[in-house]
Amino acid sequence: MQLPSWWRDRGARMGVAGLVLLATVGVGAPFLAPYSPRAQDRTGFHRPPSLPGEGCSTRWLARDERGDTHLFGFEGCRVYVLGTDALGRDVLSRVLYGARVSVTAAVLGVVFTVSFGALVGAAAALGGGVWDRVLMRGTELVMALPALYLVLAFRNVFPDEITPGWSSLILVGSLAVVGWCGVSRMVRGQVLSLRERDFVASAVAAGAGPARVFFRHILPNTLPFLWLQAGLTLPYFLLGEATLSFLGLGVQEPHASWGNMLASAAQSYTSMMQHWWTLAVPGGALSLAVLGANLWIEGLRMAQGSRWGALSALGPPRSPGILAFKDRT
Amino acid sequence: MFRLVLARLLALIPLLLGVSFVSFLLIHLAPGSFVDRLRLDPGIPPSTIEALVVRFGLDRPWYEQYLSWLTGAVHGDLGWSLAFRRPVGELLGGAAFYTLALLLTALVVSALVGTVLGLLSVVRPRGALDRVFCGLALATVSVPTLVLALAGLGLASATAVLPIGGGSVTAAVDLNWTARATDFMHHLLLPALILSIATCPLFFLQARGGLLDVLSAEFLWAARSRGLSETQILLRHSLRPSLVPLIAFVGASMTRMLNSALLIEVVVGWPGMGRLALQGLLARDSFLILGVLVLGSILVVLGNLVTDLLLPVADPRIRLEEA
Repeated sequence: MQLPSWWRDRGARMGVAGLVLLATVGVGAPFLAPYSPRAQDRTGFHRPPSLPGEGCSTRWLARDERGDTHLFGFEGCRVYVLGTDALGRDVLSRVLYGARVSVTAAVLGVVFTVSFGALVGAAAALGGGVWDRVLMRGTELVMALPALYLVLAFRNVFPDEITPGWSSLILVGSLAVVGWCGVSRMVRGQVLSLRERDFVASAVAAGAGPARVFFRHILPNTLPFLWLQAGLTLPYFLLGEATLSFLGLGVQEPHASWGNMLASAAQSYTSMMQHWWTLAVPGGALSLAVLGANLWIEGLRMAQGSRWGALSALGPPRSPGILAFKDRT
Repeated sequence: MFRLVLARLLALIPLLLGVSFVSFLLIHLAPGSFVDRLRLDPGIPPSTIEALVVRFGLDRPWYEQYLSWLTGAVHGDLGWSLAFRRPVGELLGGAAFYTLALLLTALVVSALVGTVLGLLSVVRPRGALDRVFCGLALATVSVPTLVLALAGLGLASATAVLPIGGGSVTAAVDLNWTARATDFMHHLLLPALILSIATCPLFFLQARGGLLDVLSAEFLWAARSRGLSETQILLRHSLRPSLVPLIAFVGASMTRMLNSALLIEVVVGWPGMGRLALQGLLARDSFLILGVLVLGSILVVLGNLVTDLLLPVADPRIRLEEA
């Protein structure tokens, strides 16, 4: 199997490793988190991060009172490695469970946005005429509105208080409504330019029908491009989820998400700097996730021939890769 | 050029019609209305609420409501905000002033700083300075505006150096205009600083990329062979052509900046459009939401138009065509 072209960049490899780690953390949250994300310690509100002290031992693969196994636990004491929030809940456990929400939103959102956007873009390019005009005017309309305002208006169509499953679907849906437009315009441009290339002409000359031309010759060549679009929409969904949850329109308390953790930290903003961990932990997690996505995007961009991204100064020198079209006649 | 501006402004009309129609549908589809919330209050007699419904035409079919709003809007009346009990036009005017002040300040600051850092960075591409700046840019781009705004808010409240919340002190009405202007600037500092930090790395990367592209151009060999110093080559021959992608980028980042501005306004309490939009949405104040969405899209389109007009200034080879 051939390694993807961005693999050559150390930065991009690190970014993807970070994203994979994030996904693993999201999936394994119940095992990795020492406590339940909703369990309150009523004796310890806003407790600073600490390590187990005297008379307190760390147990690996500990069982809790309900019989579930956790990666680690503490015997004879309650230790909060990353502190507790205003309600005495373990910040580490909440941030691990919050990763679940972020990963779900990002995966669902990216898959939906890229496939739907690609479909519309290809339909506009190949359908031509009225189709093309109607679809592209539609995307222009959506793109003329400031994105976040439109997302909020869409979110507003649905009731505020709903079950967590639905609320995350609605959240992804509201973000996707705005997100697909950019993808479809890019894909349209790409398909239009691919259609004029010699290998398509020779496929047509060899007697290939429109479906074969599209699926065998055009679609495979848009793939590197679709990967870049997937990379570009990834931070959009990570940030969008956090933003909507922060504004109280996404994942609601007591369920943990990085956005509503930030919101509860901001509630006591006059003392936010004393309780810096309530802000720094979810904020840092979000920033690291976005950094991972950005590193991957930079790698994808360099693999497609962009020469002057931020990574170009940081990585080892290399000649600009040129997007090679595969000729499958 | 005059014809171009006219053509682009005329093209705005169908777009605004579409935007207002879509916004109106969205608001209409949303469950509950401002009046429904009033009905929950036992202190308000039903007759008062019915009078409100009739007065604002809320009992009529949605297309009639839209058409009557549209007729009013064409005549300069954007409707009445039920939540704020003031005309929407007046509310929007005030909020747009604050948002534009924030956007323009941050735009000027981050474009200037970004370009200067870009120039310093390309003096020795891949050198120590370039590496430091690029690393910082990548790190800063990755910190979400929301987190930046919260950190700024926390720092400002902990140090008490900058005022938080609002656009002026409460006693501002009693001040003379110079004192009011300084007070306004003082309040603008925190949100503008946060937005500048958020957008500066984007401008830096764009400026650096544009400069590096120009620096490999052949006309610079001619300049070098005439014996010009590297400083002259950078400042007199490379800077201006490198501005073209930078200016184009400003237009493209208009929505991005409005998004960031919304978050900053909500977090630090700057009384701009974003905060108004959120308040309107939470109160189900339909005409206010409609007004904010329409005004927002006008800003986006105008931003693109202004950047298009600026492009020929940076590169005279670019000719504006009447499309």
